[in-house]
Amino acid sequence: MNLYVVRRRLAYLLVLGLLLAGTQLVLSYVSLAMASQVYCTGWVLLAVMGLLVSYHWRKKLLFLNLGGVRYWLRLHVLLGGYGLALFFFHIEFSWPKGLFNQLIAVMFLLEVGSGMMGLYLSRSMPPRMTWLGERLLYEKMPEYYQQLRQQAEDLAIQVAAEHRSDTLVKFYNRNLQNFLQGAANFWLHVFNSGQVRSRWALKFEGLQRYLVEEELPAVTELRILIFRKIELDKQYAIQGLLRRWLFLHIPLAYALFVFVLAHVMVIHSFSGV
Amino acid sequence: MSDSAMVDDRIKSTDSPWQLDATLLVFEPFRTMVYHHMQQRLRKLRGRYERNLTKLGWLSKNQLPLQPQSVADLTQGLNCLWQDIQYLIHWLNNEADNEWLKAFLGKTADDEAHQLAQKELQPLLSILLHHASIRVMEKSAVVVRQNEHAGSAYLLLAGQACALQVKEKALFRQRPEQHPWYRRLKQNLFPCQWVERRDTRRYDAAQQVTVSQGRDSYLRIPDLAEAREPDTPEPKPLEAGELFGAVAALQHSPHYRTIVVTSEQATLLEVRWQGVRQLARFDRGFRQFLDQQYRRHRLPALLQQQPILLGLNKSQLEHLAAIAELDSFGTMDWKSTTDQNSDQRKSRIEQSEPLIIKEGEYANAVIFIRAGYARKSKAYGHSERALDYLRQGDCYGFQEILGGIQLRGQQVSELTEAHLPRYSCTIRAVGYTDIVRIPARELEKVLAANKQPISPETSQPAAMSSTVLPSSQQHELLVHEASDLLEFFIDQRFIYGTQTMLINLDRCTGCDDCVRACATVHDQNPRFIRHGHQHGGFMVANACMQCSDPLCLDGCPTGAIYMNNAGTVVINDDICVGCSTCADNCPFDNIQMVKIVDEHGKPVHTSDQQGKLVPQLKATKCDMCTGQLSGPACEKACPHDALRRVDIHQVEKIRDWLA
Repeated sequence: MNLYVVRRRLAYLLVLGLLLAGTQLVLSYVSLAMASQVYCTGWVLLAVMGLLVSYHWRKKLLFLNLGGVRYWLRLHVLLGGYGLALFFFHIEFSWPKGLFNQLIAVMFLLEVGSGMMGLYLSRSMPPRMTWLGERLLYEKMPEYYQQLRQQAEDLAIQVAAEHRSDTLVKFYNRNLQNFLQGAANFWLHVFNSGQVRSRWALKFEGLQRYLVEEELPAVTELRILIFRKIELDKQYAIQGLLRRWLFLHIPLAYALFVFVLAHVMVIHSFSGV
Repeated sequence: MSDSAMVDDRIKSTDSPWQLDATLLVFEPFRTMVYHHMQQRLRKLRGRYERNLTKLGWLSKNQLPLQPQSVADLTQGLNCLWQDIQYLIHWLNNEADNEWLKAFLGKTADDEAHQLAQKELQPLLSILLHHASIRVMEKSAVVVRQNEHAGSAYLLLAGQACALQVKEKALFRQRPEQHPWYRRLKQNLFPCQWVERRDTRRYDAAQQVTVSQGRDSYLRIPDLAEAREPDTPEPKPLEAGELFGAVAALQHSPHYRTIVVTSEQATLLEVRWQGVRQLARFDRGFRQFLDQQYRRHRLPALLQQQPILLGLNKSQLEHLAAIAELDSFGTMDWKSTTDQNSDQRKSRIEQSEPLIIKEGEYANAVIFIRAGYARKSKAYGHSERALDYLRQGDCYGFQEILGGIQLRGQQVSELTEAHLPRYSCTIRAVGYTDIVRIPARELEKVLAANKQPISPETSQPAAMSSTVLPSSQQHELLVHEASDLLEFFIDQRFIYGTQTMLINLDRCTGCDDCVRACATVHDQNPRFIRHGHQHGGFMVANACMQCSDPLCLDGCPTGAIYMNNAGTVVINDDICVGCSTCADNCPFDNIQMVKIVDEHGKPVHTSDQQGKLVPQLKATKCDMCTGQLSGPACEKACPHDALRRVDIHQVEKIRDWLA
């Protein structure tokens, strides 16, 4: 980790610390004034959530000269952390009562969790992809799969025709055909497991026992194709994950926002505040 | 059929790609050039050719030595001779009956004669064939536009033209209008369902002044008096035979004036800048003519911009311009390669990048880059490693010669070999490079006469100064950190870029926010592809780099693509005729031709030269979101700071960002 990143993280923590200290100070004043702390933190939390949602709209309204989205993301992360702390202040560090409030709490925690997971993924996955070779376009991956499958099939048929032996074709039909159909082993690749590669290496070693020497170059070529497919699977898995986590985070954010508005209305209707 | 009859028939039936040259040769300075060349070369070849030409009856003996008026006839004859040689080669290769050719060439139809003829004549003819074309323009047609990067030189063959300054509006170079905020809001929130939709009513004004003939299209200025910029010099008339734009084309620099046809019709010979360069290389006379023009019109301005020559008066600059040596290195050809080892690399660099200055040589001159780029490197291991690159206007060698200036005060006996000022780096031409070399002694004289104070920081020669050359440890660090990047940028020619799109792959999550942002701003069609050359942890995406020396501007028939004052290359959609010249010229494939639709989503058609209806194409490219308040949308939209538009010259900034 370089100095710049360390400094930036320290700055984050410092600002977050200051925000929390300020909040605590305000809450102690509120407490002295005999006003409701929950009411106060609730409104601030709603404002913070509004700001968090505004990040999504900032990305849409690019014509506004309001600074780069990268600064907004930093603010989004910072406010996400602050919002989590406020949430605990709001629920007074005890699990809420009532099904509706519990649902909101679960949704809030899920939202924060998915955000943190997204942050972790967006920081840790790109460097992993960098070392997988050429960065491929996600949308074009089915095309690459198709090419690899075609190459492997042609190779197997060619060897069978040249050496009048169907061993490689049988191996292809039994093992490779399904594997080459499309992406495979999603979670193994997400967790950076070396299991897939080792498994295929073993399979190819086993196959070599039943082949004549003239067929071995074709096996080497086939092995290269399979390893390329594994690299492609890795890219597909990582890029897919980096896209899919947002399908949890964004709809949940809007659902939560609606529930929170309902929560505010309910509180104002029945609490007598 | 007799030999001569066969030849006559062939001459009659020949199509005339070579007729061009004969027409060309009637005019100065090509006539001078070819005359000079022919005089020199034909003297050597006279023995054989004179006999053969006379035999064919194309040239009587009394026409030798050549007279200017007979040059055109002679060239016509030589062109036919050249075709004969082509026939001969073809026939010999096909083992056909070649009796008449044997007779034509003398007793022995050996390869020597053909090779000699080929060697002597081919350059001129092939230059003109490949790089020249005849353009016919009607009255008020714009031939070249002021501030347009020169891509061609023009020879006015017939008709009249004039050079003047016109308003930017007449050339359709208005500043892009800023859309009102509500329109942009609508564009952002409710994007149009049609891709590349255009308001076709906008084209009406442009169509009235655009003559659309594919690559021979041009723009017209119907009312010159109205279009003329006020308080500018009177239009300068140009007559048939005048050559213009050659120096600008050679330097690939902007034209000063707009040239407009004033006669009912004008015929022009357009020679592309590559052709001008090759002609200058081919003929010394033509080169001298261009150099003379350059010294007179452009060199003082280049010298005036140099920080090291600040404070010199006009006459001193003119003196330096007069004694400066002009030189050219390299070729236009370029092939991207990857070297496996130092030997391969060394031999590739030595072959493809001619040496301008060698490290360790006696520093006897300062060089300025007048066109192109140069690699600045130091010996490292068995090869060289890049430290920097020089581009148009950059200078090298001043620090080194300052050491020499200081040493001149000392006794010669006190000087040792080690004291002599030497160049600290090697300079090599990247692609083609034109330089200006000013001898150290002359520069010293001028500086001494000017009594220009030399600051202590810069008075040390490079070899001795710690500020100029870092210590060995610092140097090692520099070499390891930045040089790898530089090598990549130079080898792939990304050094042309001033706004190159770099993607830091260690940060890019592939969210495509940049692509979406670009599409939102540009008719639902992104102007770049998030894919490209990858090197280590970054990628140079397929987006227009806004080259400092843009090749895409060459040959745009209507001047629709141009460089604005901010250095951004933009396309004026209104006058783009869809000829795809710019897309073909871009070496990085960063210009795309797209089919457009009208307001209702219907494809827009136009008629081609045969009158057939074809889809209307428009050139599109990244324009750095000119007209948007917030600058390039792609950069703004990236949430992870993974995408930046960078000037490759600031390699240390790039290195820091990538780290």
